[in-house]
Amino acid sequence: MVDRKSERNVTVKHRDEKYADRYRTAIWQEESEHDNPFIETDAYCRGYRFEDLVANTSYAEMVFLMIKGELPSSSQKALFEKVLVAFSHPGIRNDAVRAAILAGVGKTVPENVLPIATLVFGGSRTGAGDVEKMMRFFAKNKRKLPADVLAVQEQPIVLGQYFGEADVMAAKICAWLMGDEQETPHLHWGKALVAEAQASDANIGWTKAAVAAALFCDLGFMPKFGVGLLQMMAAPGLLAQGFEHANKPATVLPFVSDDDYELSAQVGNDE
Amino acid sequence: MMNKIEFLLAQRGKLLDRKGGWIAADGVFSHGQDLLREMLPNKSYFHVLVLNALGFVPEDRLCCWLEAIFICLSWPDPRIWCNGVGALAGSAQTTALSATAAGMLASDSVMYGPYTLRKGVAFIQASKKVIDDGMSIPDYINSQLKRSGGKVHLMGFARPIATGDERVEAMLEYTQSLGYEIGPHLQLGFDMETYLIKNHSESMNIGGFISAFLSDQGLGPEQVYRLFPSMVNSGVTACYIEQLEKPDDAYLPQTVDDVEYNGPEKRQLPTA
Repeated sequence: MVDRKSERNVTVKHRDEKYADRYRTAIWQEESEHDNPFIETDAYCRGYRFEDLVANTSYAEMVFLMIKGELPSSSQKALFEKVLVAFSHPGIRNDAVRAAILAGVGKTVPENVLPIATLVFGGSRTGAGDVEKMMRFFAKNKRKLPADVLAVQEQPIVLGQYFGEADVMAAKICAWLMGDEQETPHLHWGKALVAEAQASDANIGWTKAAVAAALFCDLGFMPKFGVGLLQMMAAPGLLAQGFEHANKPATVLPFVSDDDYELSAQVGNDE
Repeated sequence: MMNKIEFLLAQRGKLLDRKGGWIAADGVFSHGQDLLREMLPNKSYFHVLVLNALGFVPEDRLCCWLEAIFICLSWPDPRIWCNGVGALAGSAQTTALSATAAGMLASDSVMYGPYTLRKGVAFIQASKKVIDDGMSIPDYINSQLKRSGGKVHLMGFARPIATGDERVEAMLEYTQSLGYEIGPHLQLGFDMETYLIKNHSESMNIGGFISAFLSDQGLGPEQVYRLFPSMVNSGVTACYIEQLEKPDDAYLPQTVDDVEYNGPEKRQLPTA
């Protein structure tokens, strides 16, 4: 065997890269007029006094301001309010909701229930995991004809199946939130893409995450925020479902009997 | 042949064709192994870890190797990002489990942690194909470096914060003591390292060593990723506990002025 130790001649040393002397942010500013320099006495978000924001803005406006840097226009605000409602509950049979319920009924400590469910909602198939990629897809392809896009990619990331067929609720949410061509251009383009795809396969359609992704593009959010935005939006539904029966015995949930639990006879390759 | 709806209806209320489980009257099984009667008296926890993650019982020395590599992968230093999360959780007084889980999640990073192992295995295996097909190592490395503007952004080589990786040397020695030969992927890794040291002062990191060694053991990228989701847990826990026991607010405390604001000037809300 080759003795690599003598040949490698590797020494470990710091790169001496220059790190920031302090953290910088364009989102939140704190000021102190206190004798204790650790205690803030006033705060501003993107230049607006926190106190004024608490008194005068909605939750939707505040989220928009923090992420986008500016308050939404009236039409953006109206659309974002609807989006927040539309994606506030992923559906009672969604994997993340079921995880919330399992955690809640399983008497998981309360501070863990929402993070557990939110993590599961980070999945790419039934959650938010692919929203960033979907937003990039819309941004890259919106100027192309849907037919041309489908000629290259038979099933783009924004299309999918739901229990083997097109997701009816996803299409409905799209219809509920559709504005005019100027207001929701990505949603319009996505709808045209879905129609084009369904001409050859009626069983594929919008996914809920893709509808959200198109709307996030229409609202001008950057793709890097997409996954977290949808996770944040789903939090109320995950929270409510997670704690609905959290004080009840575990028997409120079905439990698969041994008769319905089937082990395969597969044997591992021992050694 | 069942269609999708028939298939799903057949699954309602049942868990079918499972690879593991507990049957009250019979015992608890994983991939055909009886965990209490066969594994517990004869095997280590790392045998079970591999069994559950990959579906087979590994040879004993691979478990020794895995146990050793876990020592290399988690240190109680809160300057490492995932450990810093653990320390902040200690400062916030979460539970140990929340802190450790949060730190483990932080380690699923494109910069370090299990995610980079998946990429590292894919990279060394793809590299071997290219080199086996006849490209020289210098030509191959230079073609890769062109993609990153000449910087050594090769999965498994170079390292944040420092150059060199003392863990490679320690693990190489231990690997040899277990009787392992240097396989073709690890040899390629060292050959690439020789070029990188000479021309770029960068070397193989521990992720590259793991990726190449486990490639030589026949594992693929996803298999390796599945072995290491908890690889940083003990260091995170240590950082959490240390901070939990320190005085309140004492983890890198920041005065108001320690954070620099560089956003918009103060302004009035628009009138409705």
